Amino acid sequence: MSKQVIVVRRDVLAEERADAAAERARLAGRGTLAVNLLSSPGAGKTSLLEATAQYFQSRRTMAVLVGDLETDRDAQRLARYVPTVQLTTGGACHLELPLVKRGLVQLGDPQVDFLFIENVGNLVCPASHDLAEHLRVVLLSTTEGDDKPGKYPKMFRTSQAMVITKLDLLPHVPFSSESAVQDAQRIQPNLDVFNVCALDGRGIEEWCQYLEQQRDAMLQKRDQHP
Amino acid sequence: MHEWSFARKLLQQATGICHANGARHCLEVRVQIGPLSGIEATLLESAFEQLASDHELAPTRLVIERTPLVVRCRDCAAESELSDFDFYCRLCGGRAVQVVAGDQLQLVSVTVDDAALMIKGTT
Ligand SMILES: [Zn+2]
Repeated sequence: MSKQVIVVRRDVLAEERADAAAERARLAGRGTLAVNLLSSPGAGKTSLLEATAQYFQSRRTMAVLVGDLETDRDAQRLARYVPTVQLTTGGACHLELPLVKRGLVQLGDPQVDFLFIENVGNLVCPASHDLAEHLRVVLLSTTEGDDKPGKYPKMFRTSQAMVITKLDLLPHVPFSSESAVQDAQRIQPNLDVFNVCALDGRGIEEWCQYLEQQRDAMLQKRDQHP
Repeated sequence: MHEWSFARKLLQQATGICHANGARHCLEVRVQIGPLSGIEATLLESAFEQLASDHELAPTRLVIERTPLVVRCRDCAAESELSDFDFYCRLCGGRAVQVVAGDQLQLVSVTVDDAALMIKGTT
């Protein structure tokens, strides 16, 4: 028996990343900013999207892909406002690009301003997977520990923005926004931070204007380097 | 538990490499993971072991090497090895750093037997 070592030296996700880059460019070409939303379970992704949909109502178009472990409750909530498709992960802990592409087909590949991908509630696994998003946003609710960023470095390092949710509960929980932000910016110095309360609408306008700015920047970049 | 999906990808890629080289068995798959890969080595190991046990390439051993997290400074171009997740240049203190190693699962090499078949030049 002879042995031979074949040297490879390749990122296992290289192919997926190339696929994601191609899809990202295609979406940009259609004027769609794709936003990947990540958080622990129950951090308020669906509520944030509801508030976002209400804010954009008549001025912007959007669609949502919801990755849920079992139920389609979140998808049903959002479908009242915007085109929504549930991605059935079959119990998987994160979404991958093929599932997102299938979801887009199911939506009828709409030409919308914003495509939101509500990832599975998990701060570890989704961080490794590029879903062709232009913007990765991590949500942190005030009911979670403010020490979360340090525990999930990859998630915060790969995100461009952090949204602190459930501001209304701040007086009742031992959560310090300053220390959460400080922690997160040690990992990702360029992290843009938003404080929102989907319930009373605080911070929603700033968040939505940020999304519009991000989309404008994407369109500008696209037109400069077509 | 996305280690299952990584283990599956590793086996798929190893299979492709074996086929391309005309080998029927894979003795060893060697990988590198860094602190920011998001992968738990023991979980990857057990997932791989289970998937590989009745795979056409079996018996295959997974060898995991750990690599450090390295960043490069955009200001002074120095490379720093980070021992924690405080991202700044250890030389000039600047925060504009880029990760250059330690954030991936790298497939380093695949060791095959019956490589004699390679003479057929299937690559
Ligand atoms: Zn420096």
